[in-house]
Order: sequence, then structure tokens, then C-alpha cells
Amino acid sequence: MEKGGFRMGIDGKFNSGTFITTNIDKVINWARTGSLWPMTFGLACCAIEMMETGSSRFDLDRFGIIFRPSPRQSDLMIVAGTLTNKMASALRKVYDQMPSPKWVISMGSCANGGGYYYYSYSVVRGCDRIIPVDVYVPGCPPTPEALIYGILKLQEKIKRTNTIAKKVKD
Amino acid sequence: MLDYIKNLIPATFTKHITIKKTVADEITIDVEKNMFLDFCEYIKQNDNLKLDGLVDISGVDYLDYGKSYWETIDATISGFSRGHKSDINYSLYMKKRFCVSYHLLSYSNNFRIRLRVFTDLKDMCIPSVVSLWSTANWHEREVYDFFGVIFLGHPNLIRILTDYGFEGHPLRKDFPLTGKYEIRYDENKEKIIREASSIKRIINTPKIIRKDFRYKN
Amino acid sequence: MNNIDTYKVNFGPQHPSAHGVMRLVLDLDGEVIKKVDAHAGLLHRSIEKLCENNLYNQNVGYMDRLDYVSMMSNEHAYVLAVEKLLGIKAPVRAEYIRTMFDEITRLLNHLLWLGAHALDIGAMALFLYCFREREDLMDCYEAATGGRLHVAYYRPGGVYRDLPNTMPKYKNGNFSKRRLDELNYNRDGSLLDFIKNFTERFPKFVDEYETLLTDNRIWKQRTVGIGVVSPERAINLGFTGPMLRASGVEWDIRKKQPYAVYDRLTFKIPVGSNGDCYDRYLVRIAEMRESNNIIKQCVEWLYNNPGPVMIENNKITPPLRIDMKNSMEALIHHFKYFSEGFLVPEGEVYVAIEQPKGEFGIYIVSDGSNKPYRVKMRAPSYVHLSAIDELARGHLIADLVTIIGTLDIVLGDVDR
Repeated sequence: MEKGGFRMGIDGKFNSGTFITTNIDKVINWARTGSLWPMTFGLACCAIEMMETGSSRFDLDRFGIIFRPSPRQSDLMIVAGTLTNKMASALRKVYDQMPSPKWVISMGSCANGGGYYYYSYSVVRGCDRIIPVDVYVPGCPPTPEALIYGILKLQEKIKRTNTIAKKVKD
Repeated sequence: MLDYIKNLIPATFTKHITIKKTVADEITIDVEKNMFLDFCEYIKQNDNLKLDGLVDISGVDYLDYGKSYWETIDATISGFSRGHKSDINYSLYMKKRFCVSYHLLSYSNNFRIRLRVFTDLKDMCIPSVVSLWSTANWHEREVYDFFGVIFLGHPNLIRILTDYGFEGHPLRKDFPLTGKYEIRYDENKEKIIREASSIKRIINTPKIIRKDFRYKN
Repeated sequence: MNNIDTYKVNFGPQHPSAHGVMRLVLDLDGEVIKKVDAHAGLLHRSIEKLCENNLYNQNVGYMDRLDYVSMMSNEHAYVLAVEKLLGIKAPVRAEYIRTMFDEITRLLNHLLWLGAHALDIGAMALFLYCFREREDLMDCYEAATGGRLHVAYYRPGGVYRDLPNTMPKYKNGNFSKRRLDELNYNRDGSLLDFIKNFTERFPKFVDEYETLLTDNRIWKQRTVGIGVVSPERAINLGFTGPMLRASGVEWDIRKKQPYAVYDRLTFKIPVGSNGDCYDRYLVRIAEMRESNNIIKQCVEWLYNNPGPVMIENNKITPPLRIDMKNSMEALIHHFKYFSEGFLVPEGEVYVAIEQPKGEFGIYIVSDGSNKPYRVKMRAPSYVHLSAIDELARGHLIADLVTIIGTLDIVLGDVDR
């Protein structure tokens, strides 16, 4: 949700534009949600559950999700695991390298708010102190079903945004 | 086992060390600092002992040893305040504050032993054993990082697990659990900044010592 | 002639084939590595200091999260250390259950290692095969404890509860009846039936993996002769586990200093000869087959010998809820256990077990209170990572990826 970004719509209100602009919006959102490419940012134990979600039983490929190793070719970042003070600057740098539109899912209780290690001196109490987060998936670790539910919620959130319609109205 | 090892140690070392047997038949040897390196060389080379494997080096800070936080004087006046007090002074049990424990293993003779070296804040230097066991490199760096013990003769004694530019030695008992600072990203300055730590540690159960082990026969 | 200095490259914290967050600063001369400087601590969560502020039985949850691919082995070491200080021993059935789950954990670890190592080197199909078996084993974890990954199942005094009599089944979703029966064919009995069926299927899967890799020319070119360690150097560097056994040293804690019921079971220890990456791969594959045998023996014993799984001493283990509601002593024990915990006598103890990666040790210093005074975890990945400089000098960058894979590092263990 960066300032002056091409994509706004945090309110979720469906501005009624014209027929053409709302349908162009629907096509754009269908393209974006149908092929979300996440970047592998597994830090700790939640990374193992993320790998399980992408593997044999709970296949993520059927949603169009392919894990990309480079931040410049991805549009989703799943922060899975504990974020420590030493790692925070690397996280911000990688987030800045991703091209917009970009979304962030915070997976697991350590990334949501410090989690099991809240009282420690070397842990960042939630990755939303460093980067803006769209969906929080709770659990320690969240089961693959929970992560898939979180990704589907993110797809619904993306479908509520409108890029062309709002721009024309203003 | 204890007598066997006692007989193997020559007389030059016996007045500088104390051997005893602790919980579940483990053998602990307390060594004085000045004889430490020679003693280690001897036990590594002797064929009957042949302690060629260094398993672990860990530090212990005996500042709060044996202190219970359950007693409090204002229990009857203002209600019970969880019994936690924060004045820390030297404990009654240990004469020196810090201890470095070395766990050694003999692969050929199949036994384990523990060495302990005590040191104090006035003189935090201990000779390093990197020349004998190469694995001591990272273990000694970790003890330096967490407690501040300096190892003389170490090739590269710098911080290993804590943050770049971290000040203080975290595992000492007078360092707070929540640390001195926390970080967040500042939008205006566009970089990560440090702020003073703002959370309070809530203690649910205080530390209790009662000499009450009825289940142990 | 111009002197060109070495070029520094950051094999950074976010990298597709670094196994977690680890930073290596490489000094390169062309493509050849001159020096590797490993920066650990990017996942340092200070578990040791947190453990000093919790009760003894609250710390079991932290032990799972140390080496997060072999969860129950870490718990086993901690629980054995606390039991040694207390002077108690778990009942025999609990020890057999612990041994069986330790070996299931060894299979989980080696399967993930094989999948990730092959993926780094380029054999991508194995990743999906290994995770297919891991799903079955995680179903075993879930049936016995309720959690797939972090479970807190072992407690001082035994294990939390006995094995269940039913196995969760696939429910009626979008499957046809025929497909549903196919999926549920081995879930009709108890958990032990499911594990027995798994041990019968497993050797065929290991044969599948070996057909893909062991005699493959490309695999041999990538792993033979890389990262060679002589036996004396391996002992001096502190290697343990498969890293040590592949260099020719016959040292396995399960045989030399046995714990749990390993002295009553029959199994073999694979030992390599050359000390390179190919030998380590062969040692781990052979260990998977031996684990299968051990699980079979444990399942046979557990079928025939029912019994308690926690000791009856209510000062150390909580009483049953039915008793707590009916008896005064049980109510007092319940209250004291959950508000104050149990007190452990003064002393210090070090316990080491054969974790899948090497020797995992726990050193506890107790001053007679209900919280541990100092807990130190001796992690095998920490020691193995410290040797990467010596192993990788003179090799190419592509070999560095092979070496990181063969060291079998998990950053939760390195950084604690």
C-alpha cells in the first residue's frame, strides 16, 4: 500500500464507474489473482509448512502459484518465520526491490506479532513494523489448509480493488 | 572410574585441580587458570585418557545462584506483589562469578568428562584451546559474545550470533530479557531506526527454592 | 604485472539454495573460492535466555523449534536431562514409543535432506517424491499428538498420552467412492497398523530414489571427491553423526552409550570410507533402511505389551482429571503442579543423543528451584557450519552449493 501507487482501494468500496471500466477491472483482477507468483522468503519453521503446501498433497500449482527465487519477478511475498533484528534490513531491501503491484502475507505467529519469542531482545515484534502487510495467517505453524485459506482471502481482497475505474472517476 | 582417572593424573597437576563425581556418575574436574592449557595438552595426548573430542564449551554466570524471589516484605502491608525483587548482589555460594565448562569425549576409550574454569570480572581472560581442538573456534566466539570472557590466543574473537553493532553481553544475569532497544522502519527517514525498548516483562510464576524433595528416596 | 585482488561476493541471506537465512561472504578468484566467511545469527531468537524464565515443563515447546525438521529428537534430549537430574526413569512402554518416534523423525529428516539436496544439485523430481512420504509420516505425528510439526509430546516422566486406536481418514469431498476407498485402504485400523503398513511399503521407495541417483553419472560427477575430510581432521573439527561416519570413524551414540531401548534392538551402523559428499549420501540412504527395521521391531513390541506411559508420581506429572475432581490429594497436586511446577534438585548434567544430524546435547545447571538456571544446547549444525571454510577452499561456486547441502544445516539449530 505505498503512497501514490497505481493500486488503491483499501476501503473496499466498489466505486461504480462505467460498464467498460468495471469490466476491464474485472479482467485485470482475474489475471492478477489467477497467477500470483510468490517469492521464497522462508525464514524458520513456517518455511517447512510452506514447502509442504507447494508439494505433493496440497498442491499450490493448481492455483497458478509458482515459487520464484528472485524478487524482481514476483508479486507476492510470504514472510514465513521469525524476523530478527539482524535480518530486518535485508527484508526491507528485498521488499523495496519488488515491482508494484505487490502484496505481503504474514505467515505464522512469529511474523504476525513476535509470537513465541515476543519477550526476546533480538526479535522484531511482528514483521509489520518493517513492511506493510495485507493478510495475517495465524498458527504455529499454520497448517497448509490455513495457508491456502489465507491465499484465497488475499485473492478476494485483490478482486475488491479497482484500478481503471477509480482513476477515470478522479 | 573416578579412581582410575585420579591415578592417571601426574603430581604436577594434582594441587591445581579438584576432581569430583556429580549427578548420575558424571566426572567434573575444576582446573585453575594458570595450569589449564598444560592440563588440556596432557589429557589429550595420554594414551589411556586420549580425550581427542571437544564436544561443547559453555559459559555460566553464577550471579543469582541459589536466590529465591518468593520472599517479599510488603506481603502483609500492601498485598502480595508477585514476590519479584530486582536487587542483585553476589550470591553466597560461589566465590567467582563466571565459569566456562568444557565437555570432552574420548572416541577410543568411550567416556565423557567435564572441565570447569572459574573467572571473575576483574580478570576475564582464559587461554584458548584452538591449537588443540579446532572446533573450539566458534564455541569460544559464542562464549565471548554472550558473557564477555576473553580467550587469549584466539585467531578471530568477534561477535557471532548477536546483531552487528550490538553492545552488551546478553546472557549475563544483569542484562534484561527484553533488551535495551527495539527496531522499526521509519517512513520519513526511509530507514530502519532503533528505539528504546517499551514492553514490560510480566512474570507469571516467580522462582522458588524449597528444600523439599520428598519424592526422591 | 598487475595484482588483481580477490573479489568479494555476498551469498546473501535471501538465496534460493541457502537452506534458510545464512550469509556467506566469499572471496573469489575467478570462479575458485579462496575463503568463506560464514555469518550466522540471522535467526538468533535467544532461546537459552527465554528458557531460564520458564518452568521446566514449559520449556519442552522451545526444544521442538530448535531443529525444526527433526522435532521430537530435540525434545528427547531435554527430557532425558531433566529426568537424570530428578533421578527417575520413564516406564518401558514410553521408552519404546519414544524410540519409535525418534526413528520416524530420522526418516522425516533424511527425506527432507534428500529432497532439498537433490533440488539444489538439479534433480528436481525427487523433491516431490520425498514429500509424498513425509506427508504419511506427518499423519502419524498428527494422529498421536494432534500437531503436524511442533508437538511437545515427550514430557519428563514419559510421553503425554498413549497411541490412538483409530487413524483419521479422508472424508467425502469431491472424490468418487472408488477413489475414497483407495485412499483409505490402510487407515482402517489403529496407528500401529498404519505404521506397519508404511514400513512394508518404504523399502520400495528407497529403491526408487537409489535408481534415480546412486549410479547416475551426473550425480557422481557432482559429488565424488567434493569436500573430502580425513578421519583425524573430522574428529578434531567436532563432526558427529553421518558426517563422521562417512569418513570412516565408527561412532554412534545409539551403540556406544545407549539410551532409551536401543540396547535391546538389533540394527547395523553404516560407515563410509572416503569422506566425500557421495559417501555421506550413501550413509544417509543406508540409515533410512536401518530406521525402517528399528520401527518394525518397536511396532511388534508395542502390539504385545500394553502398559502405562507416564510414571505415577504426581509431584512430577499431572494427575488425571477424573481423579482431580474426586480426590483431595489429586486436587492439591494439580494445583501445585500447574501454578508452581516441580522442583529439581541442585546439580548439573549433560545428556547427548544421536539426532539425525549428529550429536545433540543439552547441558542443564539447576540451583534447586522450579526454573532451570542455565540451559545450553549443543547443536550439531553449528559445529558443522563452522567447518565450511576448510571444506570449501579450492572448489568452485557450484561445489559450494553441494557442500552446503551435504552438511545438512538447519538454521534454527545454528542460531538457537
